[in-house]
Amino acid sequence: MTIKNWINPIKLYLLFFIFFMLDLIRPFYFIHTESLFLGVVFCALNCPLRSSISLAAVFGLLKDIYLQNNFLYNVFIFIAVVLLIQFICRRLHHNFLLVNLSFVISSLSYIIFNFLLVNTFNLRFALVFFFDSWLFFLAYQYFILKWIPELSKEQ
Amino acid sequence: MLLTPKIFYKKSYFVTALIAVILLLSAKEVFSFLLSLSTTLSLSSQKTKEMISSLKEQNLLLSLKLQRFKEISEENKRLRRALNLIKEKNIKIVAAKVVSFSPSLWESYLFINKGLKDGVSKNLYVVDENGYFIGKVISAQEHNAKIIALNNPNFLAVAYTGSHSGMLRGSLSQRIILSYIESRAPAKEGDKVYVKPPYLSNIKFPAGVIFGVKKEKRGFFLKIEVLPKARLNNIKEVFIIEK
Repeated sequence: MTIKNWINPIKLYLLFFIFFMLDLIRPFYFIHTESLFLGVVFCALNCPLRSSISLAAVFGLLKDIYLQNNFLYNVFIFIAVVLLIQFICRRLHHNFLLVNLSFVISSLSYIIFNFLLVNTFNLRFALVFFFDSWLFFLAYQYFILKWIPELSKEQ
Repeated sequence: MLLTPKIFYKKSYFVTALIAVILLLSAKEVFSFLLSLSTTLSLSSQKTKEMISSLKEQNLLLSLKLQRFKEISEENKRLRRALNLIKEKNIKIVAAKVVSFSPSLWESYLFINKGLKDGVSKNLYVVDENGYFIGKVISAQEHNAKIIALNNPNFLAVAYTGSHSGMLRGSLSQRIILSYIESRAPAKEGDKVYVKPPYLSNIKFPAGVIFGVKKEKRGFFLKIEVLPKARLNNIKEVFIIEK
């Protein structure tokens, strides 16, 4: 599970930056998903722990700085998501079911954390976010593994 | 006549034979002619290909220009509407472009390209080109500012329906909440909800329309759901109402 080629980390950082820009510009405003979060989940599933945590921390920090948050909520939640997924992956065999199970658990924790943060709850919003994110996660997973095929080989 | 072969009795056979003889005699000329013909044809096909590719490029360029013109014309319409707003309400506004949205879906913020240098400061009210209320400026830097949108759960502003005032609160759904309206208030579905910037005297800006009214069982207030008038997801320009 190591990225031998130095091109791949650059590709990943570039990809995360594109995800961050997508979240800022929101060209598809009718889709309720956060690309950066999906990127973190993808990275946690396909990359080693150290690089996943560094990516999560860097882009969580960037998001917090952009939102002018006093506390680094996003750094915390992104790293927590990475640790959670790595914890699940170490105990179970890596297959399609595990990938989806990890996504479901991490996205549910992300939704709950964010609802606690804004101190409100909306079931419809949660469901829309969950299903939109799931769909886009599978699409991202498919396309990213085509772009960086070494990641799928290293699993 | 008897010596001529039978084949020459038929006219067509004779003509064919004659052509064959001519071709055989002038094979070199015919070959060079065919060669020149094929060269001309290939050259013309290459030219056609080049022309097609250049036309495709032109087409792409023109469609991009057309798209840009459409965007400019829409922007023009929006700005004209904003000008009407200035005349109607007799107010001063600062037009700003939305640079980006909040990267978090749970907190709806807009980031604009105007800041303290352009007269944008904290707590100023923000409307769209139709005068529909969008939100408030919550922080401003030299060249940019951050706006809290109506659909942010942390949003709070005083709003009115009829002569009754309440508190407008953002929510994650399409509808926002108007609370602290007395239960005896005659608020009903379809009534307008508007806001008044505290720094301007008696100028109203529509915020939304009442969608549903519920009476709290043990409370003194109504819980009113309001459908915002402004399209909060797809905003390109905003207008900050100056003091």
